[in-house]
Amino acid sequence: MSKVKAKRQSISLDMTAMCDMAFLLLTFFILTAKMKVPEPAQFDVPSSVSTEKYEEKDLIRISISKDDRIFLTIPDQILRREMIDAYSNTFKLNLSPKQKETFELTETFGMQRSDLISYLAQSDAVRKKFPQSGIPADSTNNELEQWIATAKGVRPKVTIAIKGDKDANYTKFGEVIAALKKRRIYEFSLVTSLENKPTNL
Amino acid sequence: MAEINTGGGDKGGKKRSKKMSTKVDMTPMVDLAFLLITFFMLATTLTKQQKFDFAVPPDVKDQKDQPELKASNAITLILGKDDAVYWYVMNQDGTTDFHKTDFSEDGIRATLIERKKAVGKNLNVVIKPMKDSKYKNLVDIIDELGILGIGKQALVDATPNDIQLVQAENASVN
Repeated sequence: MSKVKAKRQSISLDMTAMCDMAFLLLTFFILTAKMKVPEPAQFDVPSSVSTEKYEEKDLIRISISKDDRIFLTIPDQILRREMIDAYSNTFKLNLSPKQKETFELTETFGMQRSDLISYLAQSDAVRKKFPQSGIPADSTNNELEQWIATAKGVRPKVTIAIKGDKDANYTKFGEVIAALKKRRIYEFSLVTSLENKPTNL
Repeated sequence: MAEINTGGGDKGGKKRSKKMSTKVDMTPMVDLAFLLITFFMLATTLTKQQKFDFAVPPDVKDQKDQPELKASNAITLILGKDDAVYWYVMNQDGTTDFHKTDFSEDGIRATLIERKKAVGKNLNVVIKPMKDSKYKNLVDIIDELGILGIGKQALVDATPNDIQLVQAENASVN
């Protein structure tokens, strides 16, 4: 008599459904992920215990790099469009539609006005290597203030965020605050990274 | 995964064309898909940054408009070079004790806790960053005040008098 054989179960699963779901989620995450635009400088922000989320909605960001250059970031493309129109009108820059379009695609820049005009006329490859010396904000040539005024002019409810490198000099930060004060902006946010709150108080 | 080739087939009979299995092993593909999902999930959520709101008082044209500050309620912090903090409190007779400390737990935090205990919630903190201090120093100090729940603060530029005091303090140490 032969023994009754236990039925062998197949160990291979049908993974089609799982695969479908995995790729669906993958597609979702790829599409919602915001591409990080390469910035002209690196910013290593100081840490604080604040847990308030930093969101780039209706704001312009003033960044101070390690070597004390000031950059302006306008995350909203529509705002960039409005700002460059207003800015070139105010200062009679006579920018071509092509130059304005280039500005629309430039999220972050840090250079004085004369450099900006030639920067916008360059090709993509040249622009990547264009030396950015920072937006002047000293008392003799305060272009940062003009940019802030332009932003406030086209969108009065715009808020200001300051993102400084932790090794940036305080003097530059003082200049930025002075420029903001001149435009009657007394409230702004500082961008920081998270650190743990001390528990032994 | 590996199929055992039993061999010894085709015993007589017609030669059949081998039937190819239509099942594909999807394990590596699923592995890869989940790896990428994990990457994108972490990459989107981990890059979020924090912010804190900060306000500066408007400049007053007239000194008379400046609210009267009771000197004994105020502590002045001067942020100096190389992460140094100098602090002083005005005594009743107008003299000041000048101290040098740092950003460590026993440094500026201990001082502020002590002042807060002595003065209570009327404590005013005047922050005077010097030209060679770093942006980080300012954020650290404001953060410290936030941790300790000291709401009254003012950001003022360092006066020549303050700079002199700092230089004198550094000279006495060396």
